[in-house]
Amino acid sequence: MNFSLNIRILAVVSAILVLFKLPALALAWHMNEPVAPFTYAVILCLGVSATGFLTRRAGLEMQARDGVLAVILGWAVMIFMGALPYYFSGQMRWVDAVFESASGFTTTGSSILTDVEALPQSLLFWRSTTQWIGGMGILLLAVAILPFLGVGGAQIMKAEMPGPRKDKLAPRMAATAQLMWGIYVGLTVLCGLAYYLSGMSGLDAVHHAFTTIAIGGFSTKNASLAAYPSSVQWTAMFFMIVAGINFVMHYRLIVTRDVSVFRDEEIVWYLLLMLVAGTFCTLIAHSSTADNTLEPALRHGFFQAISLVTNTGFANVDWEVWPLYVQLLLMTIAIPGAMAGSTTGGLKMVRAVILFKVLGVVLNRLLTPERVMLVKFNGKKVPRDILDGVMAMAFAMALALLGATIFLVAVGMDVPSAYSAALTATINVGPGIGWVGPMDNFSAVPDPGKYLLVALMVFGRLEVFTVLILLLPHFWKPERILVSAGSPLRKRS
Amino acid sequence: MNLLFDLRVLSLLLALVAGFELFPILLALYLGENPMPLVQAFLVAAAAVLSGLFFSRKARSELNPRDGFLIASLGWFLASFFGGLPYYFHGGLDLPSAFFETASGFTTTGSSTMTDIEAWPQCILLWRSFTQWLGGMGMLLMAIAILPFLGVGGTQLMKAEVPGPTKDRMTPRLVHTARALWGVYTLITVIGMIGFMFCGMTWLEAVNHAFTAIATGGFSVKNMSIGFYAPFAQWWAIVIMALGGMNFLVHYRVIVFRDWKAFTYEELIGYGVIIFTFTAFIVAVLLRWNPLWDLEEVLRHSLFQVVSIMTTTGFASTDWEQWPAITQLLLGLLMVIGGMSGSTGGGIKVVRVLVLLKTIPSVTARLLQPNQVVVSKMDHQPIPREILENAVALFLLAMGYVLFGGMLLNAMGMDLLSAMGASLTAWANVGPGFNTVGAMDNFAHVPDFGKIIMASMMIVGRLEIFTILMLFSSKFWKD
Repeated sequence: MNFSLNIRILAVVSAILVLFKLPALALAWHMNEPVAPFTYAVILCLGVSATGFLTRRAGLEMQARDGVLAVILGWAVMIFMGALPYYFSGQMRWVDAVFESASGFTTTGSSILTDVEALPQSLLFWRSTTQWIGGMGILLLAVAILPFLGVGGAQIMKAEMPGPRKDKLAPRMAATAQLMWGIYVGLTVLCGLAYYLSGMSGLDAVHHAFTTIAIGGFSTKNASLAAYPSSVQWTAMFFMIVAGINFVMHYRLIVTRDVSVFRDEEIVWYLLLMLVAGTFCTLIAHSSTADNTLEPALRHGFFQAISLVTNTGFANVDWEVWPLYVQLLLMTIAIPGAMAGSTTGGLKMVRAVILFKVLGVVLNRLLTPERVMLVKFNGKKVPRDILDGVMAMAFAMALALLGATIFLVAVGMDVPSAYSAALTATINVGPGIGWVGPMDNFSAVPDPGKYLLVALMVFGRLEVFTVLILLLPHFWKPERILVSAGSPLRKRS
Repeated sequence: MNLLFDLRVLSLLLALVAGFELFPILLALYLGENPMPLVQAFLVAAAAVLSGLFFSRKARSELNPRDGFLIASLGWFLASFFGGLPYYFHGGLDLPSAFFETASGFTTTGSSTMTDIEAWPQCILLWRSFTQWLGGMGMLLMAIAILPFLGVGGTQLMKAEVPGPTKDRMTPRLVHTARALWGVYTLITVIGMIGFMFCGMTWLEAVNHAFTAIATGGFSVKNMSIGFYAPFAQWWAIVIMALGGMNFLVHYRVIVFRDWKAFTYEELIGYGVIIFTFTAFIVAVLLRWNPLWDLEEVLRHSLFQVVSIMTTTGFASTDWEQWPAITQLLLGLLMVIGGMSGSTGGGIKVVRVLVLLKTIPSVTARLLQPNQVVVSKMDHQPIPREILENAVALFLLAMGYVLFGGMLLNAMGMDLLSAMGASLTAWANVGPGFNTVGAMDNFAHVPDFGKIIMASMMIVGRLEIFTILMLFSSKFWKD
């Protein structure tokens, strides 16, 4: 393992965080709000960055395990550094600050704030910024802007980027990262403009553009998007859908005008799920007395479906008043998440589709045992390792979910709240059911529960294996032993 | 598909069910109870059997995989319907409840719609326990064992009915396997009955409880379930339930071949480890929760509930609904896991859980060494892909199915916790659920439509979902 390079990467991450704290600092100064929380945080970050100078002679060699370690440590640094402004502002206890920060960077969108609007504007701005940074991934940003990281960029990208499809846009990793961030910034600007034109104030438009494109879900209003006129809500729906689409497809559509992307199986299922869930929710919303005309029913129904399928977590109606089974259904459709290669959480649609195909294969095999069944995606055979990865990930997530639910019940939550809190953290959605419903917050969760949820959010954001790998004994052993491990069958492909 | 022959097999299956109704009729005559409900039910079933046999007299005896799935699905539904007639003719249960009660019996679930069990005549209660005993090892398997000509397509039938991802045959010929399984099953039942009699039960109570314990069913003839009897009887019940939750292949190898290596099966070890871990945890919680119980009581109640729930029996030695929420949640988790493959228990089975657990480290290791193929093993053999895929598929299906069933019951007016509990307990064939359908409650208050849905879920769960799901695939009906 190349520890000095890892330390150097952490220093870089810290330095990037300083850059992102500057706008919030400027805003605080401009609006005559306390600047101290940000100055303290910036000074601490700079202190950590300074350690980077200690590693001037770090080798550039990077192995898979370095990528994993860099990403894990990078996220830990990010979450703690990101919690500093909240903590120094005196508005939150340390555990709450860490929760809020983790919920931001992992684009979950769960909050411990009972009254969001009471927070200073500058702090709210930092809150939205964390989601925007976390959406695309700060390490990917590091790959994009620092050429020396390009060496091991593939390892980092593998560990940080969600989804089993890691299409490269350009032959060089740094160029790919730059393109991804370019599309991300472009979408954010477009989204902000659209919000502004449909009636938001300039600052709010920036906030919500950040959290919409990052599929995060933080809002500056207690009532979330319900505080804005319907035109804003329709705009939000459109951009949530856009943000849930694979960025590679955006690139192909915009730059190469390649319309064949719409024939991709994943996008079809993604849109279909939203359509079906939206129609169902519209019917539910229509049967409630407040929305018995078409437009509000459609708006409320589809908004919730889109917000949950993409894992954003915005709400424009208090869906806690809907029947409990509908709420549970909403939580369930969030599990697949939006498309791989977007900023969404959850399992990713492509994995859900592959799992369903495995189901079909298993059934067919019972009928005709002698035939060889293949799982195909977009007409191509899904390789075995991807197939195994998908199956193992689904089960690992389910296990984490079960374990976390039991833990949360043990610390005193009721079962539906505990289950939905664990689920919403694992798949990075935001709202849950019961105590932690769409118009509630997580402040009532006991402290140990909050730390567990923080861990779950990171576990889900880094897609399970990046975290699980740390538990493998031979992750920590030197190279030679790993290769000569006798027990597992080895084949060179 | 050979529909005519399917009809014939179904008729014979029904004849088997009707034949077993003769035993409770004899009991009724012996005890001087009114045998009429049972006789009426017998006659209706007999009429159905005769007409079925008449229409299928020209059938060719040939079965392909599809026939197996069709027979298993229809057979279980039909048996549940006809088996429920005695309750209906006796009065006291309407048709949906009678269907529910029998489905709960044949699938060895043990959920009941009877509000006061002790008020029912002994002959009906014996029939109720009988349904569980028959369903435990499988009615089709019994048909294979005693009807030699079914051996032709027996493999197909066995595949559709016996739980677990692999269907090991113990002997080269299927008929012998089926007979061996039923023989071992009967032997343990007799041992269980003798044991219960030593623990202070009357012979009739001993028969009833031996039937439902080995079948991991959970029907009792007492309102208080096994909690009514002395601690000794409860310990004995733990043993019998644990035996019922084990793979009968293990019993067979130990009893017939004295093959002690059968105890080194990884699945068996996993089964033991899970029981031990959960019991230890629950003991720790209960010691603090109820200081009035002494150590024996805490240990007995914890172990009893863990074994009863994990083997999906559903007996209760105490009202565990009063226990802390965390212990109930753990018991809920045990329902999902269930017994071993090839046992009489439900759930997704220990072997599948192990296969799934073993996949995680091997996939994780691949992140470090992308070129290395790490194969996970079970019992020193690489785990075949089919088994892994089967395990994942069943796990996902089950979770989706339980969630969906719970939502449906919730939409019909049950509260969420009860609805989820009812759905889980029906799919896993356990018996008790949570809240309004807890350990000491019953299912009489579930709406009629909900009863039918739950009864269907029990059958779907007993046949491990795939068998029934198959009927809904378009390929199934195409030749």
